[in-house]
Parts: sequence; structure tokens; C-alpha cells
Amino acid sequence: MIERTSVLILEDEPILAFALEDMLIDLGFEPIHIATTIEEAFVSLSDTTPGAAVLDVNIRGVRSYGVAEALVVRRVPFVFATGYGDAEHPETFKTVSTLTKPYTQEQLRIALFAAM
Amino acid sequence: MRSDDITMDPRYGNNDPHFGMPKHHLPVKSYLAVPVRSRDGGVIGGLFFGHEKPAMFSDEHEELISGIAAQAAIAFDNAQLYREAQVEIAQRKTIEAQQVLLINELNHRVKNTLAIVQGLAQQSFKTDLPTEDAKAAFGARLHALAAAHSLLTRQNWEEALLMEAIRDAVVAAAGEAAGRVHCEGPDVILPPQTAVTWAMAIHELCTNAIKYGALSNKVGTVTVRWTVSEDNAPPRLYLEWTEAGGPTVHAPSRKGFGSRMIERALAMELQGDVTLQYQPAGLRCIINARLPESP
Repeated sequence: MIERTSVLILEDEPILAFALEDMLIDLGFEPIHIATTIEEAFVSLSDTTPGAAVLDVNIRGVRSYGVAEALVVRRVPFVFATGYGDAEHPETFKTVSTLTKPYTQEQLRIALFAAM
Repeated sequence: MRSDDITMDPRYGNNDPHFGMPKHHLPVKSYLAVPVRSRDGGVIGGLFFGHEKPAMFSDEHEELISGIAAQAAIAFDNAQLYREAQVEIAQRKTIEAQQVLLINELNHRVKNTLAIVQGLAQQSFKTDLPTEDAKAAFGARLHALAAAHSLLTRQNWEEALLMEAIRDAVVAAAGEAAGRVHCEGPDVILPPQTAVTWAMAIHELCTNAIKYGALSNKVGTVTVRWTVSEDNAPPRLYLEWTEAGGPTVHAPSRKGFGSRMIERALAMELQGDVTLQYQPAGLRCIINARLPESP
């Protein structure tokens, strides 16, 4: 199933996931799917193809690039979010926008719409 | 020391192990020995000269050999200093590398914590509650977050016990009323991030109990009891928060940050089920989750 206005959130910190969910709803996206583990993100993707995605880079010590690759295959636009100021992405994802936590709703809007 | 004929010296032949010259040693009469002394006065070694004929070594010879011994001592001392300097440089490099790692990790944690504070602020103030109430709720949540961090700092950010995470959150939120919250259950080890989510969820349960539940009067009690079932693999945690002795409970008309934190955040963090039951006699919160894997 393809949901054009939905967004997949991959974020392992629930408080941050909720804040991001609120921002995305404010920006007009719905429904929002929250995954807190890499596996959950894949399960969600096997179910629905969202209109966009926001991926935390470091999920309980594991990088989310595997999920990013799956999004590229499905042509789903996405942005990264990270607490690391100097995240060095692999070559494939060099051009993907990265939001540095904490970010504002406006920064999220600009990054997401530029990706879409 | 210098001797024209060492075999005539009264000290000759008295010393272990050879008591004189060993067998097959070249014959020695004239003898000149100069110690090689380190700067700190310790003897590093010696320069020893012998000749088969007597009286072969002069003042000049002794002076020359003493000079060489002094040079040798300096060379030994320098080599020792160099070795020590190399060890120190290697140690410093290791420490510097550890520091860079620590600073990066600290940067990540600070940014993450700031993002959590931003998330708490955003959700605390996005409410139809009066501003003063929202401010108080936000302040209390920051306090709960700080208490969780204190607990983790005490444990070097490695892990925390479920009992401590619950107790600390209860004490931070309820103050004196914490004495009416009884906790019992076996040791369960939590990874750091899970401990923070527990603390924040328990904080919201306490806040609710203080406002509307068992801790809103002088006599109500809360029992937090948990068990670990080893029948399943991985083992499961079953926890009940049960309130009693408070005013009659009514289900809330609206769900705010509190129930989001309790029902959704904990369920997400634990990958389990969290249910809130608004029973008239007292609120019950039931958690059934996979036991967190110890780090």
C-alpha cells in the first residue's frame, strides 16, 4: 500500500519520536508510523510505502543505512536526523539532508520538502 | 681502582664465585677498573682492564678510562631517558585518543538530552491547560529527567536496576508521599536509555497519582510489584502499578503527554504491552514486556 501523505519515523527515543510526530502532523502529514528499531522500520515498509521518512542515524548503536537503502529502492524521499554534529555518511547518502538535533519545525519542513 | 699487581692485593682471591681468576682466564697482573656511574649515583656497570705484566697502567690511562666511563654513563642515562619519554608519549597518545572518544560521546549525549528537553517543552506547552500548570508540569518533567541522569551517572552510564529507576523517579516526583509507594520485585538490569524511559513513565504515573489518584489524599497507597517469567525465551517482565485508598477514579476525558508517555513510550521502548485501567477503586497500570537484554 502506498500512502502519499504518510511519514515513517525511525527514532529510538520515544520523547523525540512524539515531538517529531507532532511536528509532522502540524506540517500536514498523516498517518505517522513510528519505528523504534531497525526491524520495526522494515516491518512497517513491508506493510506500507510512506510518502517520506525521517531516520535517526544511530538506532541503539546500529546505523540506519540499511533502512535508507530500502527507501532508495522504493523511491521514498527521506532525511537523516542525528545528535552527532559531524556525521559522515557513506558515499551513497552524501547528498541526503541531515537534521542536527535539536532542530526546529521550520528546519524539518525545509529539509523534508527539499527532499520530496 | 688501579693496581700494579692485583694478585698481591690483600683483597684478591676472597670473592665469590671464583675466588681469584677463573680457570683458563688470561693471566692478569696489572689491573684497572673504573665504575660507570649513572647521574643518580647508581652503578650501571664498569670498565675493566688487565695486563699479564705488572705496573702497565699509569695515571694517564686511569684518567682516559675514567673519561670514557663518564661518557658511557651519559650515553646510558640518555638512552634510559629516551625510553621513558617514548613510553610517556605513547601513554599520552592513548589518553588523548580516549579523550576524543569521550568528547564525541559527550557531545552526542548533550545534543540528545537537549533534543529531549525540546521534546518535553514542545509537548508540555502544547496543551489546553493554563500556562502556569503547563510550566509546573514541564519543570517537574525536567526534574525527573535530571533524577534519571543522576542515577545513570552513579552507574557510569552502563546500566541501572529497575528498582532504583522506579524508586528514584517516585522520590523525585512524590517527595514525602514516596513512603506510601511500595515496590517489590527481583533484580532487573536496564540499559541506560531504557532506564530514562522508565523514569519518565513512572514520573507521569506519580504525577497522576498526586493529582487525581492514591497520592492525592493522606492515606492512599501505591503498590508496584513485578515478576520475571523464565518460562519464555527471552524471559518476560510482568509489572503492575496498583493504586488503592484514593478517591473514586474516573477515566480522563482527554489523553495528554502523561498517557502518551506511559502507554506508548514504555510500550515502544520495551516492545511490549502497556495498559492503563481506570478502575473506580484505583488506577492500575499493567506492563507485559520482553525482559530488556542486559548490555
